[in-house]
Amino acid sequence: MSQPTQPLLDIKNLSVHYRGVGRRPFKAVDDVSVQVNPGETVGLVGESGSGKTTVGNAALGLAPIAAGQIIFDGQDITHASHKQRRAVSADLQVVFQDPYSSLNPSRTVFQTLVEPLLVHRKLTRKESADQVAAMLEKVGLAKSAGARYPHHFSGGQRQRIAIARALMLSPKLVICDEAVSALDLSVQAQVLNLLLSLQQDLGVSYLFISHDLSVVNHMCERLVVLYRGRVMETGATSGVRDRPAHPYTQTLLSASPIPNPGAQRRQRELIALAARPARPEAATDACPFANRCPLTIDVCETTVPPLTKSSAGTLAACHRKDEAAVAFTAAAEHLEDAER
Amino acid sequence: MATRAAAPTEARRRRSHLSPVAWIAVVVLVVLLVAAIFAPLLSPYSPNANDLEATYGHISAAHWLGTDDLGRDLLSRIMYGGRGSLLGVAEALAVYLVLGLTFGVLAGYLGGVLEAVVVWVADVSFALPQIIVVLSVLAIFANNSGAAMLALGILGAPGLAVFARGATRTVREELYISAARVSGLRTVPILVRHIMPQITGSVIVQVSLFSGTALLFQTGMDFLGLGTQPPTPTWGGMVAEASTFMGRDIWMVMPSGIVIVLAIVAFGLVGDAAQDVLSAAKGQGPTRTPASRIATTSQATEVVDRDETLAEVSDTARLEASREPRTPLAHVRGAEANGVRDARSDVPRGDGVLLSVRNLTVAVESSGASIVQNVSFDLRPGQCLGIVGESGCGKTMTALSLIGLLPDGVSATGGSLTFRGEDLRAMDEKQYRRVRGSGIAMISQEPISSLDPSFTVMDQIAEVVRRHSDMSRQSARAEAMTLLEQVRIPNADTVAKRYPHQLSGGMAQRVSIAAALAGNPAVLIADEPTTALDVTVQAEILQLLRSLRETGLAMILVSHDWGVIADSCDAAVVMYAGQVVEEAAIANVFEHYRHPYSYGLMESNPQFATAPRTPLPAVPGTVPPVGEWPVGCHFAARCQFASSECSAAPIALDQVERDHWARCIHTDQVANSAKVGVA
Amino acid sequence: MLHALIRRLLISIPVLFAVSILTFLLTALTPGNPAYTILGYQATPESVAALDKSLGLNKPILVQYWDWLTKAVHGNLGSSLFTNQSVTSLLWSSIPITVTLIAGAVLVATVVGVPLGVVSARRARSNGQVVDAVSLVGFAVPPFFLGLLFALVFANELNILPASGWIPPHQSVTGWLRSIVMPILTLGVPGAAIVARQTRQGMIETLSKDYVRSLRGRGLSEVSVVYKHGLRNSLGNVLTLLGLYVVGLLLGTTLVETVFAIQGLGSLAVQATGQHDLPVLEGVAVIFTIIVIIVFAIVDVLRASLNPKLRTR
Repeated sequence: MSQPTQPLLDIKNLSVHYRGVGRRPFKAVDDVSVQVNPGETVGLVGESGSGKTTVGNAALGLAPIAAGQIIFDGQDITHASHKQRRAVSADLQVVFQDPYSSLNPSRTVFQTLVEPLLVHRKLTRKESADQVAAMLEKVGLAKSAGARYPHHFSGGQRQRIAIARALMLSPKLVICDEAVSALDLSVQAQVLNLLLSLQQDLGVSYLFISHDLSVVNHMCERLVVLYRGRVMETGATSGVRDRPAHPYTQTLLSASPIPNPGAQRRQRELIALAARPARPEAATDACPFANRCPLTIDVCETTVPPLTKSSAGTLAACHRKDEAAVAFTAAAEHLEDAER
Repeated sequence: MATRAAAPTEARRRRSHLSPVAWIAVVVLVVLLVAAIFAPLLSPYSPNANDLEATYGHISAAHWLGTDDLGRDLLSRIMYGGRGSLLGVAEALAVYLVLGLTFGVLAGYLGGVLEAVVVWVADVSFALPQIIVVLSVLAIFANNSGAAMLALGILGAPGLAVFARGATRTVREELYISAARVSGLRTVPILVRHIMPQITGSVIVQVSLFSGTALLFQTGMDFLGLGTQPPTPTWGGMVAEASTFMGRDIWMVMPSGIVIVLAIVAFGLVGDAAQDVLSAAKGQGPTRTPASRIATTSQATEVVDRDETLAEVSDTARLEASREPRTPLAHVRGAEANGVRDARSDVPRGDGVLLSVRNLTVAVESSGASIVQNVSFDLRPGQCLGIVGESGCGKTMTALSLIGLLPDGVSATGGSLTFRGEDLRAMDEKQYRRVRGSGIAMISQEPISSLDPSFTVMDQIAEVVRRHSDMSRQSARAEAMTLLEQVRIPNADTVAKRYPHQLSGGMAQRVSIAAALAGNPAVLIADEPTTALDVTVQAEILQLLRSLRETGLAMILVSHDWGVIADSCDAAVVMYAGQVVEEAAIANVFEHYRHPYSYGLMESNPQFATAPRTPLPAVPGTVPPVGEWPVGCHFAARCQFASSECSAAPIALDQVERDHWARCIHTDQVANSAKVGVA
Repeated sequence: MLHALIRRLLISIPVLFAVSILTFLLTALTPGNPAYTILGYQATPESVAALDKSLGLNKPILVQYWDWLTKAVHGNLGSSLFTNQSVTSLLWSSIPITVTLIAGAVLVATVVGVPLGVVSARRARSNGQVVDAVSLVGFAVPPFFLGLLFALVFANELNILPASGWIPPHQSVTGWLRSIVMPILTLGVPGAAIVARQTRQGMIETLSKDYVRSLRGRGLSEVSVVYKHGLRNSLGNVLTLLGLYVVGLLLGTTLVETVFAIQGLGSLAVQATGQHDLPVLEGVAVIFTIIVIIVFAIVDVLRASLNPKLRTR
């Protein structure tokens, strides 16, 4: 990355609004920008309702885009036509969360895997079969798996099949939407390892969408933290994880339990210090986190904070990010002292 | 693993396709159809051939189904009559299918204006009395039953459309449709390859019902004399003719009447069979609705997916188990059945133990396969015991057996459960009910669906309060308010008036906890209480559960999340493939674990990864499915320390140090490796 | 609840229009002239023209529809082409009979079907299969055949009920009761079978829900779990089914009234159909539609009162 490369996926000021029948439109995503560079893994983190999946769906053409722009590999795909979308789909693929719903139960694994080839490549039957077999091997499944139906496989194996389908056309970017969330811990590690080794072999980029901080921390080089459809904080993983400047990121980090009783007890004390009961929802032009934030002041209720550089090095959308960063670092040091 | 699982499943699938009764129904329909189509070739007589010598005949060699008032052969008339009757059904059905499917599937897949119009037209058509339209058509096109049946098909089509639209919408939500769209597949191939095959089953159900209705109309019109005119035979017309001679002879009406009944029953049975195949498929997992699947991922995989036998069982014996008095089963399949006697099970119940489990074994009734084997532990007042493990390891089944609410088709077959000195397994359903809620209470994973959707929060909690006390309605409501405040619900008085669907997940879980506390229980079993919640809400709920323990409430916390266990528990049992593999005080579970499974899970946790973006030391393989557990150590196949002794014979749960138990013969090796790993 | 009613009303208006337009348009399609139908095919063109004029048949079809509609709104549905009786009076004498049959059938279906369904849902599977089988046969026996079988048993063989006819209640209450037993049973027994089946399936589904396990886990009595919580959550679909059952009953009464020679709306419609007596048929169509609309409105309100999701948004 010596020269400034063009991002592979460039989502600029994206807004997605859903309108239900007889309800006011719901802003699932509001002014979100995300970039993924070639070969990079970017994490999109947030709780339910944060809009993280919607951002991924917008890039895939599965969500109604109200405003903003999505540029993939130099092409504007914001409102891609069917034809354009089909052309892009060879390079832009997806692995979904649910290994049960993401494979058609009445089609064999071979039929599922060969489908992208039928759309995009003119191959002989033999060539297709060879490619499917090679891909099955790559994701750690037997060649014979092709003849079976999805219900023969465990969740982890199905997720491997879903990964194989995404990689059939050697895409440049794979959107992993909660790709390991439904898996058990031991299988989750297997699939994460698979994704990492495939990235090394194929140079594919990942947009890794997850609610699980420990997974994105491990997998991603950069993180984007979303809350109620807006970016709260973004930056290099180490920065966001170790020196978060946004009170929401801090809340999220300290709320995920550590599998160590001592460390968890101390972390809990941190939460207890910061805890502040949720207040009624603020006005539309308030910071979305204002009603839960322990640091809320008047300006938070009246102005949406811009996403700007914090003293800790990340970009954070908070009026009091520098105070928050200092407070967190102090608390973390206190915690570390206690641990020793 | 896939290979092993494949064979029986395939066989079961094929078998579940059609029951013998359904086959008979299909055969009946085919016979009726063939008899009608080939009537000129097959019928013994001409339908209108009089034989005045043989009027009002009953069953005989010459006339198998007897004769009518003019001596015409009833069998021949039925065969010919079927032509008009079944042709009418076919006409109506063709229109019904073409219109209904086209509009329904397109509306379901494309949505938008088309969908709105289809739904509106269907709403209107449901309220339109079909009979009136059919009669109007007949009033104008006299005796033209073909026109009438076409009208019936058009009238029925919106019903099918709305149904097909619903089914299509469900399938459209499936992620594999999104995946196909992302792959660049066009709409028509998606409809043909992915959507149509999925909705066929439910369409068959509708089609068979409609066929029955159509035949009813067709024969009804003929009976009323508004359809095909005599002497051309029709089934309905034959009943009408026979009815005028009923005073003289009652046989004549039977053949034609029964044939109509037979045909409609056959249509219905085909529909039932399609329904059965559908629900069997549902139980298998792949075609469950997306919402329910995602919602119950962790629990469902435990109960349904990993163990297809179990799913089948709960379907067949759904209602028996939970309702009939739970007879205490003989303690035959206990420790001995498993071939090993755990030292753990011999530990006597200490003083002040509230709930004591010894050698608990839970099995699938049909196959006898155990899903929980020889589980033993004790719970003291105020203690929080964690049960941790992956899905398919028997955590939830262990928890459910404590409260006597195992799913149908699954039952505790061995061991003892002692609560406050009483043997729970010896209790009948009535006695058990007195323990539930007031002795042992439970909260489950899905907070919203664990509340009755039809009653307000207040009604549900107050009912439990009243059940466990002799309070008046008034004071029960006051008590319910206190409980809501106790679980720290803000604006408790407004929340009390809400219905479950108006609550957020976190709020619903608080309400569930309040309802569980309403009987003032001594033990609370929390089965994955925060799995469905966001991490910040999870922290709040865990905080609440912790504060409840300060009142002396003992708790069993079931979770797959080691962080949650670390946060809340004093001690934990680690379960793997139905067995307890490790039990220790909480610090030991996390820092001095002795079982390779605990070790493997700890190592593969990304939170403990040595460096980001490097391979995690993953445990290979998956939890073996129920029924395929090996004789020896269940973990041996995945274990890096395994030796030949591990698989030779069952491994006992042995004490490794005071109050620390592990089911492994290589605990020392684990301890050594772990030290290296931590350093 | 109000929401449900308004929604139903919004659907009902187009339904009424659809029925009136449909039946009316069909008149325009009629091959041949009603005047010939009345006067016979030997009628002179002059007499036909005169009759056309008196019936208003020489006006454009839209004008004819408008005339019919304005009169209909004022309760004047024209008069029978045959007997010249006013359609309204024909209908008035038939409505109580048909409504009695429908109400009786719904009563039988509910009172027998719901408890049967609940009991069978709580019993073993084999028992449930019996209910399923009986229900299927109940659905499959056409009312005209079932009616004949009832008549065979109760009138011909046992001779305890009249084989046909209708005795008005003001004439003799016991006679009225005896005369409606068989028609109502003919319509109600299959209804009970399908209601039982729906109730059974609904109860089985409800009782396997998460919240039922939670209710049991809170120690609630079996009576409360099954009847208060289980039944309440299963009844919504039973109500929908009852609504559709009433629509089906309109065909049923038509057949049953013919079998038992009762002069209700159904047999009126059949006669009108056979005689191409369109004004009468249109009258019956309007009444049938109104019956369906009222029944659906009742179903909607009852469902909304059971299900808070339909009430609160």
